[in-house]
Amino acid sequence: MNSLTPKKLHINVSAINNTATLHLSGHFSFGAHREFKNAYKIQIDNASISNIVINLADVQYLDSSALGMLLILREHVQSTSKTLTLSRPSTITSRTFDIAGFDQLFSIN
Amino acid sequence: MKILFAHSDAGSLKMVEAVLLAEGHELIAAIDGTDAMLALQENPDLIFLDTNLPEISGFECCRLIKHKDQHRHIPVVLLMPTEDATAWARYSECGADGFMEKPLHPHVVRAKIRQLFKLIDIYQRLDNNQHHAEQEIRLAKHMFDSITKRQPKEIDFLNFWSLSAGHFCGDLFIYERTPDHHLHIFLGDFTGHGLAAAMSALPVSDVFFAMTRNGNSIGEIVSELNLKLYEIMPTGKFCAATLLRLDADYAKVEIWNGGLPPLLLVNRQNNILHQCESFHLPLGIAEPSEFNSQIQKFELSGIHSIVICSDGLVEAQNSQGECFGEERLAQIIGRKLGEQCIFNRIKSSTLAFLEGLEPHDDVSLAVINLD
Repeated sequence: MNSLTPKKLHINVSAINNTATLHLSGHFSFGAHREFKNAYKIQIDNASISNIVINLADVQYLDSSALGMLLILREHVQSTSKTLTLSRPSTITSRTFDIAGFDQLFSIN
Repeated sequence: MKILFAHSDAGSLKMVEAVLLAEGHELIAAIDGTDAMLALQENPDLIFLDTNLPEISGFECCRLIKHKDQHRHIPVVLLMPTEDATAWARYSECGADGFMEKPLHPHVVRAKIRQLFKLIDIYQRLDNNQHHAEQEIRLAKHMFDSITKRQPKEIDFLNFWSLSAGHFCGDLFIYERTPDHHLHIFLGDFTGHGLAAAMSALPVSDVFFAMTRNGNSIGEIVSELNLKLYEIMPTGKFCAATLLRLDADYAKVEIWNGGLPPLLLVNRQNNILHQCESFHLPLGIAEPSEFNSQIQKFELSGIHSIVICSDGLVEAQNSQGECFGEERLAQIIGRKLGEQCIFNRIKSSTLAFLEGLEPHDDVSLAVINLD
C-alpha cells in the first residue's frame, strides 16, 4: 500500500426493464474484489435481467486485478443467456483495454 | 492467562488478585509506572493500568506500550475517573483498548477480563496471519530469485530496473541465448503480487529456458507459455508479457507483445522510430486453439536502443493522482540535453515523479542498448 489515502470503488446499481447497469466510480483494483462480485452476482441470479452493463465512465484507475475480475464476470455471464457490455470507458481505462486486447473479448461501447 | 495489574493501592490489588485466582489467572502486580513497564518482560496477555500511577502515569505507560511493536497487540485497559473531561481526551490519544471506572468492583473486573478474551483472540489471529503472510512472501521471493539465477551472467547491453509495489517486484525479466546465439528476452507482468505471481513465474521460466535452449522460435515459445498458463491458472489470472528475439548479428528483432505498453525503438538522436504496440491478449487468457502467436519484425539498422516497460511505469501516479503516462515517457526519451543514457533518464525521472511514494503496481524498465 502506498501513502495515498486508500481509494475505494463505489458501485451504484440501476435496473431499467431487463437491463441492469453497474455504475462504477473510483479505484477499480484488488480491494474491490468482494464488493464487485456481490454486486454482479445478484444480477446474474436475477432471471428478469437479460443484459448486464458495466459503466466505467467514472473509474479513475483500473489495474490488472480489475481486468481479471472482468474476465471472471465474463465467464459467469457466458454460462447464462445474458449479455455483458462494458460501457463508456474513460481515456485511461480505454487505453488499458486496448493494450490488453480486451476489445477482442468484450463488447465495449 | 497472565494479567498485569498496575495500581498504587494495595487494597485494590488484593481484591483483583482474589478475582483473578478464582478465574484461574495469574497476577503480575505493579505499584507504579516504572514497575509496570518492567513487568512487560513477563509477557502479560492483558494489562490494566491505573491512570494515577506514581512515576509514569497510566496514560504514558499505555502510549509507550502501544508504540512498541513487540507489545502493541496486548490489550490495555485504563482505570480512570470517568467524569474528568481531560482524562477522556488523554484516553483517546494514548491508544488504550478499553477503560474501567473507579472505584473497582470485583464483578466488573471479572466481566471486563472475559470480554477482552475476544480481543486477545483477534490480536493473536492477526499476529498469526501476519506471520503466515511474511513466510509466504519470503517463499515467493526465494522462488523469484532462484528463477533469475538460472540465466547466463549479466549481459552488459541489457539494463533492467524495477521498483516494487510491496515486498518485492513480481514482474519477471529473464533472458537466454539459443544454440545459434540469438538472444531471447522476456518481460512478464503477472496478475497479483507475491506468491500468486511467483507460482505462475515458475512454469513460465521453465518453458522459456527449455525452449530457448532447444532453439525454438519465439512464436512457438509464446504459444506454449499461453497453453501452460491457460491450463494452470484460474480465469482472471494472466500474464501481460513481451518476448523478443535479437538476431545473433543484431540486424533484426522479432517481437511478440501481449498486453504490455508499446515497446519503443529509438535511434541515436533519441527519436522514437517505431512503437511496437500490443496486438494480442496477455498470456493465459486466449483458448490455445485461438491463440495468436504472430510476431512483428523490425530492422535494427539505425536503432540505438529498445525500451520495454510494464504498465506499472506508465500508470505510476504521483501524490496529486496524476499518471506518469506514455507521453511523458516519450518526452523523456526525446530529451536531447544531458549526458545520461536513456535508461538512467527514465529511471531518475520516474523516481523524481513518484517523490518517494511507493508505486501502486510493480514498475519495471528494461533497455536494450544496441550501440
